[in-house]
This record gives sequence, structure tokens and C-alpha cells, in this order.
Amino acid sequence: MSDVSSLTPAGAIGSIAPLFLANPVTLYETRARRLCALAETEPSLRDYLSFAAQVVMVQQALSRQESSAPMPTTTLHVDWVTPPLSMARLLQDSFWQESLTTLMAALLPHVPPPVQTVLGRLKKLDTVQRTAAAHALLNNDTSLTGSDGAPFFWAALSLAAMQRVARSKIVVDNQSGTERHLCPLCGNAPVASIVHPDGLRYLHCRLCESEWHVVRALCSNCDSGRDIDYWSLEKQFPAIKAESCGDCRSYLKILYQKDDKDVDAVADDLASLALDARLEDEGFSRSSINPFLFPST
Amino acid sequence: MQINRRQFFKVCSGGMAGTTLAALGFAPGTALAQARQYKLLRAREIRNTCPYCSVGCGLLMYSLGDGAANAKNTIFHIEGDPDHPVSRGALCPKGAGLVDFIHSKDRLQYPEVREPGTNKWKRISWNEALSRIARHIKDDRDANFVEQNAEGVTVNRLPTLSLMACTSITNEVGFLTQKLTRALGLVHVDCIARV
Repeated sequence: MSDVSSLTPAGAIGSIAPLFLANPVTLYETRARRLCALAETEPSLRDYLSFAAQVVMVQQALSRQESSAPMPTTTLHVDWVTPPLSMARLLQDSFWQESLTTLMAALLPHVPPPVQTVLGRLKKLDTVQRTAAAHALLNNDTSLTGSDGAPFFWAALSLAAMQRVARSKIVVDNQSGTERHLCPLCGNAPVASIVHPDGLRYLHCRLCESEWHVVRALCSNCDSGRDIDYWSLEKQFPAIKAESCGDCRSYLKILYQKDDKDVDAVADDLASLALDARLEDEGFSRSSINPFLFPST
Repeated sequence: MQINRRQFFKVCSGGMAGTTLAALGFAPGTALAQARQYKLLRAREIRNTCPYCSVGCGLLMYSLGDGAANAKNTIFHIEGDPDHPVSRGALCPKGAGLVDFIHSKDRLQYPEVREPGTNKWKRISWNEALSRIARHIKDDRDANFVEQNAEGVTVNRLPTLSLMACTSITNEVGFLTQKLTRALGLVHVDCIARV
């Protein structure tokens, strides 16, 4: 008798991959290109999307450079309960500090005066202060970085987290029925949902850029499936909807690769700010922060 | 149910003052003003099970509507549920055509009868339909019920009537189907689900 689990109906998905890791080489390149393209189609946000693209391009350049203090190769064991890449472990690496310094130096000559002022302020922080600020930021507290300084810190931390994941051996327990509201690798919130062309939904981590599988038509924050709505703007952002939950009153954007193969979680979430404004009018709150749009402190 | 697993935020309220975008000197005003120009659409995505056969393939059904109590939502798309452990997103041609089935002009929505000697279908009430069916069963049973076979053994069977049960019924409904049919003496009982 043949093994039933090996039989797949015609047109069906063979198996569901629980986790996808980001490719550090292509991720930033794709995102920068997407931000530039969106800057053209969203004139009201052109300057800001172009600025975000500049930051991402520096991240890309940094991701290609070998750090002077190479990160240790470790094993990260994903058990879907305790994220193996803890914040303390991430902050131990000096890599993110070097990235932050290089990132700010690279951006300084090319950004408008208000941003230069912010970079000037951040530059004066010493290593201890920076570590404290990063620690607070990873706990969604922007009081030490300011909402204006947060994206630069986040860009460096995100790069470090992604590099760390990319250089580690990843062991994944294939467990179903576990909680999947936060990244199984680093414990951070997702920036958006991505529906792959085969119809499976993945949440995209805002820190380490990994994607993990979550069943569709369920709230990614509270697991309720009772009152889920999909909001969109007529003739705007055809591949983007906001998935809202009537039980916990939160929403997260959901991007469909079938409708636009170039969607990027961070770039498209940022560019569709108009949808956020309308969802807030409807009484919902975001269950995540975009790395380029921190709320007021 | 535990809620607030993630922290919640608002970014657009108060004209975005204090957010990264405004604090870095980029003006969000026009973006917010434009947001009000677009029409906001609301859709639903509901998980369901295909009614056709016993495989019970998973479905995702999409409907449009504003969610108001007096407005009727319309289903505009149905596709296979990729997360379903059995069908994994696949649908057979009948399942793939479900949305046309729902909106079909020829869909039977009330009882009809075509009486002997006519070629016209006549709409009747549910009460009349059930009375007619009960009458047919009673007449048939009175005429053809077999109490004993040729050897004189009690069998209590009704061989002239059969029942084909529905596919996507629960175990409990399957139990009740058996109770009803066997009480009438039916021996020819089958289910489209073949279970």
C-alpha cells in the first residue's frame, strides 16, 4: 500500500515550507528598486520613498562587505516557542554598531538638512548610549532614538539580524498548531503578510526579514477567524489589502504576489500609507511598525 | 482568546505629527489628503468546504459588501484553500466552477412539480411538496411492503423505494438517515459520499 502522505492531488501544493530565509544579496537590491518605482507612482510620497531607497542602498552595500569582526557561525534551532536569536545575542555583536556608523557616514552628504541634523545628533551618542537606545528600540520604545533616529538604528540592527541568520545553520522543527504571531527566529512582529503565487500566506519579519507560514483568512495577531475583512482602495494598490480583525481591532497589510510579482513587504507597506489613514478612520490600529515609519514617541 | 499579542499603533492620527516621516522633515499632508479621495472597498474571505463529494476539498470564498446588516453580500470568487490538509488548494472542474453554480439562473430555489400529462413545471409550497412526497411513500409502502419472505421468515422490507443521501452531511445526520430509512424498511440506501 502506498504512503497516503506522499500522494498529492493534481494542481495541489506538495508540502508547505514553514520558513523562508531572506537572501541578503538580493533583498535590498529588490527593495531599493521597488521603492524607486513606487516613488514614481506615488507622487505625494516621492521624496520620502526616495529617501528610504537611499537607506536601503546603503544597507545593500554594507551587506556585501565583510565585517571586520566576523560573526560566529552558530546553530539557530527554531522550535516555534522560544525565538533562538535573542535581542541580547544580537546586541552582543559589534557588527551592528559598525554598520550604524558606516550607514550614517554614507548617508550624511546625500540627505536633506533636517535629516542631517538628526544624523548629527545620533553621531554624538557613544557606544553605551547606542546600545541602550537599540535595546529600547527593539522593545518598541523610541524614547532614546526618537522617531526620527529610529530608522537608522533599525536599518543597522535589521542588517545584523539578517546576516546572523544567513550565516547560521537553521534547524526547524516542523510543528503545527503552535503560536505564530511573532517571528520564530527573532521574536519580532511581522511588517506585512505576503501571499505567494501558490496561494500560501507568509508573515514577513520586520527585523530579520524571514518569512513564516500562517494559515490564511485568520487574524495574524489573535487567531480569530470570525470577523476578518479585507480593505482596499479602488483603483489604487491593486496587489495590497488590509486584513482587519473585528475581535482585536487590529490590521496588517496583505500583499498578493499573484497580482504583482514585485511587491516588497517594507516598500509596499510604506507606499500604501493612504490605506493606513482609511483603516484608522474605521477604528483599527496597526499591529506592526514599518521600519521607515515609527509612530510619535 | 488571548488578544494583544502584538503592540498596536496609530500613525496617521493628528496629521502624523511626531512620526518618522514628519520628524525627518518630509511633508505627509498631501498623502493624507489624497487618501480621502479614493473609494474604500471591503471584501470578505471565508473558509468553507466544497459540497459536491466526500473528499470535502477546502475552499476560500470571496464576497464583496459593506457589511451592513440589510445589505446582501455577493460572492465573486471561489478558489481552493492552499492550507487545507487534504486538497491543498486543488479543485476538480466541478469545484472550480462553484461560483457559477451559486449565481446560475437555473438554480433550483423552491419546490416544483411536473404532473402527469403535462410538460410544464409548477411551483408549489414546501408544505405541499412534503405532503406529496409523504403520500407517495405511504402509497408505495402500503402496496409493496414485504413482511415475510418465501420461507416465512420475517424480513419487513420495502424493495421498491431507494434513497440517495447527500455528501457533505455530518455523522449525526448520517445516523438519522439510517434511522429513517431502515424504519421504513428500505434496503437500497446509498450516499453520494459512499461512506
